[in-house]
Amino acid sequence: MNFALQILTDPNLVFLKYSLLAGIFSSFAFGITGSYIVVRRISYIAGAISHSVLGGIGFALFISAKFNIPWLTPYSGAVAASISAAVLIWFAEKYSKERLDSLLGAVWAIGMAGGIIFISLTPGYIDPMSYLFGNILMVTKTDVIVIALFSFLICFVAFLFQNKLIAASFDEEFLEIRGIRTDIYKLMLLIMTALTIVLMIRIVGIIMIIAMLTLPPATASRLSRNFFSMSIISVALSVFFVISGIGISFKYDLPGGPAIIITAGIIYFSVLFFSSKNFVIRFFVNLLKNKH
Amino acid sequence: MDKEPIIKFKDVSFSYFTNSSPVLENINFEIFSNEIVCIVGPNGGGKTTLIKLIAGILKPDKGKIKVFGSSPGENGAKLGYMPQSVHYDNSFPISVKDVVLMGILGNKKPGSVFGWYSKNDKKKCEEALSKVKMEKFIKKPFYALSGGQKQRVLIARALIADPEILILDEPTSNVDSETEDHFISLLRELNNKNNKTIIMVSHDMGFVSEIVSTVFCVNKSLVIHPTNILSGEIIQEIYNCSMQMVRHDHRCSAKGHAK
Repeated sequence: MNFALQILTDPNLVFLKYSLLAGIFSSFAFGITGSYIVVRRISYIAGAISHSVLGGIGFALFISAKFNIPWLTPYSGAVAASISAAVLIWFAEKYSKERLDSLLGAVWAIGMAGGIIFISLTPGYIDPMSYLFGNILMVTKTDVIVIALFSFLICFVAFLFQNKLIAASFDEEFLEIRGIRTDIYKLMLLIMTALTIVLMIRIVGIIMIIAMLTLPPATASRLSRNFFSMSIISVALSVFFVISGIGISFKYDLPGGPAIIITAGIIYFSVLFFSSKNFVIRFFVNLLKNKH
Repeated sequence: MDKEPIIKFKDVSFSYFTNSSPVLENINFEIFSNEIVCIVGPNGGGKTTLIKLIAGILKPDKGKIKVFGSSPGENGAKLGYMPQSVHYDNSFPISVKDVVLMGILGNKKPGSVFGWYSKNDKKKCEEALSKVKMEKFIKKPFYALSGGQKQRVLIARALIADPEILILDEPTSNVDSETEDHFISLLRELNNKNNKTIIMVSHDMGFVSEIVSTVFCVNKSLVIHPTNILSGEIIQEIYNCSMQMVRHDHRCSAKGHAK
């Protein structure tokens, strides 16, 4: 954590300071939205939304360059694409009888394909890698402010509607019989997910966002007995993964996003191993016994 | 018994997909206040569909349904529902208290847009749990309970909102005989003292015959039987196959059968 203080105060490391602040602020949204995603088991929906974002980024880059519209930033394209994908998935799941996984596969792949096509059509060279895998150096002061505002908004909505969101995640059928429209809360959660996804494109990139949405809450759920403590621990873990990941990337000159994800992954599997340690040991003991 | 039925089905038919054969056909019945009705029938016979039609989750293709004189779905706050505990995700981190409090969310009251719980709600939660003898488990995670304990918590969740109609889906599917006895006396009390109308789905014919006044046999169509004429032949007809019957009304001793 000394490292975090050093970055925040060193005037020569302004770019790292912004990425660190962006990571810490977005961790609040990640920990809380991610907890809902994990308990509802909808990480594949989050995956489809996050990959479709590339379509929006590509489209915004293309239109902005072609028609000379400077205010149409890749970020606004990302927000539009992720919210449209969330609403489309919600709508299709509610009204069409199509299998959800087929639909998600389509949204996932079409978003990526569209994005790459638009980027290739855009005049000048644009490297899609920074969007796919994140680029810490790209975080600006404005990004930090936008991320902090969105993250606060997402947490505030989640706090306000917490009882209904938890209830709708636990038992939709019961609430519907009691006359509560659970589809509204599902849509609310999907839009929260869509906005959360946009927050971390710069830091971990489109492809690895799903890991940041699932690894901290999944680790937290092993250490908590109710939803409230799960989301608090999940936020704390997100902050920890971001700080230590950026620290590792700075010290060993590694890409930031992957360093964050690998840190999160190691902690997740360690907690998984220690929480089911007895089971694993028994498995191997039995295996050895059976051999002899 | 009131003259006006609280639930009325007239010529109701329902199918899940257009052009497919109906799950329920020409259903007609009336349920009056303070009745205990049991819905029995084979799997896929339409029991759950019938409950969902009463709750307004599904809309009928044909016919009319009235619940408390208006369309179903408008009176959700008057319905208490207890599903089977096996439906739940065994790793969902939620406390018994939060599960029970969920039952209050449907009651319309000012400021309930956000669904925050008041102190009074929390008191009601304790009362509901003590009614099913689960007050000691209030802080425990729901997933850590046994099947029967979960079932009791789900009853408490249905009771907390003080509904006029209680709908129970397989209330005795995984409880031991002691809990079952407790259930029977609880349902009797709710029916006699608190004037609740009770509708339950059950496969447990022994449980049914003990407290129920009317049995609805659902297998695409609906036949109503008073419980006192529920014989082996009728049960066989309902399930469309032979069944094992265990008599509960006599006891076996070392000397042989004694009535």
